Amino acid sequence: MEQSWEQLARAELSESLSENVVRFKALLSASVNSDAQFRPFHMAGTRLCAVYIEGMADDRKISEFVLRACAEGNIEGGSRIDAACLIEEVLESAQCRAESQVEKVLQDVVSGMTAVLIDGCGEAVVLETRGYPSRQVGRTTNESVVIGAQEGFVESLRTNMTLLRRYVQSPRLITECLTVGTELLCRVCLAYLEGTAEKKLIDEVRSRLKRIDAASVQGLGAVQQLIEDNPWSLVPQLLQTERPDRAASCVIDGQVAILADNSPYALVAPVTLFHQLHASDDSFSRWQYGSFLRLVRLLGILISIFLPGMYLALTDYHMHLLPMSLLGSIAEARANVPFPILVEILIMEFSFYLINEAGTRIPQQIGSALGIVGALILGQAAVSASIISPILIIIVAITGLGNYAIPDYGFGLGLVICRLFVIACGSLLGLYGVCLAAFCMLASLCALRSVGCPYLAPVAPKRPHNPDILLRLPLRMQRAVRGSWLYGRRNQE
Amino acid sequence: MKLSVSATPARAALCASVAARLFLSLMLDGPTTHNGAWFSALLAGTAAMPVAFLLGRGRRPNSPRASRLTMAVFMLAVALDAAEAMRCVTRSAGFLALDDTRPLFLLLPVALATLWCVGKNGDATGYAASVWIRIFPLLLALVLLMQARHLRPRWIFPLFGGGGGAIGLGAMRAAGGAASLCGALLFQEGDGRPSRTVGALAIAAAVAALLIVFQLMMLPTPLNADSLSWIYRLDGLITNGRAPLYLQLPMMLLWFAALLHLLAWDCFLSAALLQRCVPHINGRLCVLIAVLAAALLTGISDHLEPLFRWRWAALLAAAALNLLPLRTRGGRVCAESH
Repeated sequence: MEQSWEQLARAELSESLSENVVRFKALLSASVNSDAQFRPFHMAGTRLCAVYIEGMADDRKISEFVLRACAEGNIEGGSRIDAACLIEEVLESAQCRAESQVEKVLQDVVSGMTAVLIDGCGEAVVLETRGYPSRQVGRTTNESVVIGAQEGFVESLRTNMTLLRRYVQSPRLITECLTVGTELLCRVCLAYLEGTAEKKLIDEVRSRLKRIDAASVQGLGAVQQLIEDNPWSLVPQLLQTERPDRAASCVIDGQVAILADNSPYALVAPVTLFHQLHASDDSFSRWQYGSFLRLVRLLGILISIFLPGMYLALTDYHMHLLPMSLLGSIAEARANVPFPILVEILIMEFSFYLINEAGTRIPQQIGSALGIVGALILGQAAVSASIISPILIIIVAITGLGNYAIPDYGFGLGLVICRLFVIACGSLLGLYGVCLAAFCMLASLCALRSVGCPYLAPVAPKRPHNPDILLRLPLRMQRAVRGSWLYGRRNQE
Repeated sequence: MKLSVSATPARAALCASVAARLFLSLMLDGPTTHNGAWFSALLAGTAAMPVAFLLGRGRRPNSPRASRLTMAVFMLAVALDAAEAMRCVTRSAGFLALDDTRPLFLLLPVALATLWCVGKNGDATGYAASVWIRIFPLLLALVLLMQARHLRPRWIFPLFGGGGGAIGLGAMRAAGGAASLCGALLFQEGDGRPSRTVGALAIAAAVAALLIVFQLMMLPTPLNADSLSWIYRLDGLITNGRAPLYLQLPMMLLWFAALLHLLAWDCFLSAALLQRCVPHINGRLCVLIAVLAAALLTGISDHLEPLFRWRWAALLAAAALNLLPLRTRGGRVCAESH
């Protein structure tokens, strides 16, 4: 009776090489899969077969460390060859291990490793031969800094782990590898500093990763959504960073970093609202500059959320709150505009989102053209045609700048949605509506947690912390209060 | 969902809401104390302290064993307080810009916002108040900075304007509101030492007295019955007395934020106490009932004025009752004294 794919995969390796090869050919659909390679060879009278995926595994490594090593291996003819013998006496690869479960061998093979099947042995030797093409470590694209390290994570998990380890050269740095997903597995790495990160935090993150039951997990974006505390919240509860120095700094502070294959960034947990305001520049600059920049970013957040809504509320409902000269200017500028202020704001906001989105997708070569079309032609034409007032262009431009001051892209997008909510409330109820919206957002933030840590800590709840969370104080004043503050004294006990 | 709150956020919420309650009670709802309002605020804060002390004594840390009767009395008191606060919010909103809006449409948004916030449970409500406590001094400083030229220190005289009787009545009325806001002591988790709550009450009363003094320096003492009306007083408060209108913005933000925190804490307390009075009821349902009750009572809270005068005495009695070893029908002790 023919066995199903699952039955074949879940079996143990047989001692017959032919049987194992047939099984792997079936599992890898070798008849149609042109890159599944089976390379039979002999060694001291024993038949062996190397199984690998062309392109994922490095041909040179296979030739050198498997085929040549076996050909030159000092094994007497007629000796019994098994996995242990190959690992200890023949193979020259630094990373190899014996494995008897078909499913695990298969997973290693598809990830670029090479399995050597041995006739008469119920175990295969799995060697590290990954050699797929990957991007070189280069400059970061989204988290640029003026001063400080310039390199960013790449798509290779191994390279990312190395980058992290280069910044945290400590034997206490643990990089724990796990696979997540049930059908298409994704390799993730949990990195933390033993003794600095709370054990409770490590256990919690590990257990959340292990609990992921999605069929396929496409990188860290999916991991983030599957492990965060409140998936309904508009703000991300984990920090995304493409900078190894920033991830390393978080790890040193007692947080946990998560890396994954094919994801050129790291996730950091737990984080607070104030971590979202940090940038790598802060750490490289003197404390005064770092603190000032953080205040600027905080102001950026407030402007980004409230400015258009406040403008709408003030001009529609509370004109008496505007100084007469300003009110006169606004009235004059709006004299020929046929739309209500709400429509005007929505037109400008959505035009801004369109330009923003188009600017992200457009080929680099014509990016400057988009800037000219979007900013100069459309803006100028809209004002000339009296569709919008010039003052609104200023409002939307300042709002956009405020949003761009936020280092985290996801957090910035969440604030854009909050801004639309404030605009809606302001247009319906004026300042009363803006206050209600702010109140709802504040309560939501207070209720939010990142892997169990309050999102507004150390402000609410107030907790002793390293003076590098809200503002930066001089380095000599920064105490070694590490990750435990995130969970408060009660958890430390 | 179990409605609960830890001691620290409960104290923050208590502090923010008591300060707002005292100011609201003495400057808008009961302005007859005139210049003596600041002293009434201090007296009211002091009068609320025995209630807090008794409530704190009547419970064991992490094991609240208060009698349902005490809880029911406090629940009714905070429900009334919530109605008062909600009425004040909607009146303020109507007065400021939405005077042609139907009351229902003023009430609905604040009810929904309260439902949303209180639905996040007690810690979120309390921590929101603790954030507010940090923002409040900045906004107040801004208001005072903008008003500095218009403040008239001589207007706070005579210091005990309304006389002893008026001050006492005003204090008693305001103390009822402040005492009811201590209801969290009946069920809060963690360190529930009465001394800390009493400290929070003292700070709140001092802040309220200070705010009243500032307000008295902004607006002259009312001389006729018209100037004692709620709307007149609100107008005086929001328009900052005689300052230019465009300086109102921070004052309006200050006013709405303080009221919303008071309302949220009131509604949370009434919902949490309801859940403890009626076992096995879902917390979300309690929140819905508490907010609906506040909204419904808003319409009649004007007629409940006589009740407010005796609220403090009722709460004090209920808190004292909580110390007695009351027995339930099953014979189990449901409230123990220490």
